[in-house]
Amino acid sequence: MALLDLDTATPTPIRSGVSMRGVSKSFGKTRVLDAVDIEIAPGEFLAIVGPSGCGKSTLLRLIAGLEDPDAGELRIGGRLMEDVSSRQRNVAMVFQHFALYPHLTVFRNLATPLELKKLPRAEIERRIHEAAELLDIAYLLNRKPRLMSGGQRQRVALARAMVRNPSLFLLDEPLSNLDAQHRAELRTEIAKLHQRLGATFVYVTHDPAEATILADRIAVLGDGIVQQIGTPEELRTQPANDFVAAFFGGPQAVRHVVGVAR
Amino acid sequence: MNWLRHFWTRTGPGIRKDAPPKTGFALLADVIARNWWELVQLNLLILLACLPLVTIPAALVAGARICTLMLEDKPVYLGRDFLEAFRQLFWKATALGLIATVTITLPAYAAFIFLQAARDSIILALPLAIAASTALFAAIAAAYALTLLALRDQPLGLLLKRALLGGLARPLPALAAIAIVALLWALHVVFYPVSIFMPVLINFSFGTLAVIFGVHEAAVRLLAFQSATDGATYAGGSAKRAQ
Repeated sequence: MALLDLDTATPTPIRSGVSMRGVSKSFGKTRVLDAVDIEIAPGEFLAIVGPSGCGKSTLLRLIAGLEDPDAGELRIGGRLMEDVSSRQRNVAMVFQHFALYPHLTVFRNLATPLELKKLPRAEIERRIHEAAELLDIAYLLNRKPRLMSGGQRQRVALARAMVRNPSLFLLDEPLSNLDAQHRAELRTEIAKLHQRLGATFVYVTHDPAEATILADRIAVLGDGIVQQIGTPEELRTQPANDFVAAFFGGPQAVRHVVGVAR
Repeated sequence: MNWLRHFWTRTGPGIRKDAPPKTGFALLADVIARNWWELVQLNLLILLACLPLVTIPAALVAGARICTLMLEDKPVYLGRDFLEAFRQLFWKATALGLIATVTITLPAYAAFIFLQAARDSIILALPLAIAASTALFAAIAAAYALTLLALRDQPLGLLLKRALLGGLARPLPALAAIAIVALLWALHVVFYPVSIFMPVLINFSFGTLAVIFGVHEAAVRLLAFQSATDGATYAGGSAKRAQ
């Protein structure tokens, strides 16, 4: 699927794949990521799953350019990201804590990144209204985040990522602060957004169920290494080890663990 | 500093999508509640822009443009929109200001003179009433002209015609708005020096908002009516929202 190029309103394939080879990252003496290899195809929805502190968010921050890898090679859209700043990577990040400007209205929250890019005013308004329609937040445009619920704020955060027309969406546990109802609603919205935009999505979560519902493929991260990458079905039926089996605990996974124990 | 972070990041109760649109004074209260800080900033902007004195009409019209956007629930860029309106409407606002000053102060002064004289001769109560009514109607028409110019840039002659028409057709909301403006200044005078900061903080912007609130619906209808008869389309605010 091609991403709708909002500049020309014609479908233009500007999706970017991501390639990580031997990427390592340490904080002090703690090795958070150890020679991680991940290939993400353009337009793919990849979920990164793992327990707390396994390096999921660090991986996302490396892709976004908010951290530099100690070793290894990171490419986005085939281009080596060694000296490319986060601003130049054309990636949009959605955080768990929404990260909206509390003193600005939703409209201005969405407009700010576009104003920094010095886009024409009409273009900014067009993009904002398109994103607002898509995410059903048009009625919130002139409200400030103060009164908005978590679900509404996260929709705004998604819209803010969308208006930038990025080739790569990075979502860092975007639903973990929401209640069950909003979580289910937003999950559907994210799936629809991916389907409609066709951009590459990298989605970090600690919830295997969420990853299974949303992702084309899932990378299970544990102890700083990629334990397994595969489709949700593969992870459920053919877990590579106990770690993965424990995460995706279907009947086959239980059999796997029991078989290994015997 | 966690309390500060929580203050900014804590989630609210949510905003209902299907909430019925606010009308009347509930709408005004909602606009003030949502934009009170912007209104304070707007007041300072108007005050600063008024300092050279000859810029008073343009500053008030620019302030009226901002209040119109707030009332119509449109995105507001305070500084940018204010400056744009100020520059765009400067000459028309100045001309309008001159006309309004003359048409209000002359009959008002005449009324004052007739009031003095009417104490001696009751027959002079008639020209007093005429002069006072003229001053009041000029103020009502000025309120319409201010709102109409804030809503849409238009030729001065047409603007005056529409303002007079509006003043004749629906004078009472404009009169109420003028009463609110007068009340704000009366409060400042009565409670002086406690109210010393009122003009700096609220009088100009809240007064302008009161005028826009009072006149907006009729002004939008006037523009829509004129556009319909001219075959053009009014692309400004919705009359429905302001009802």
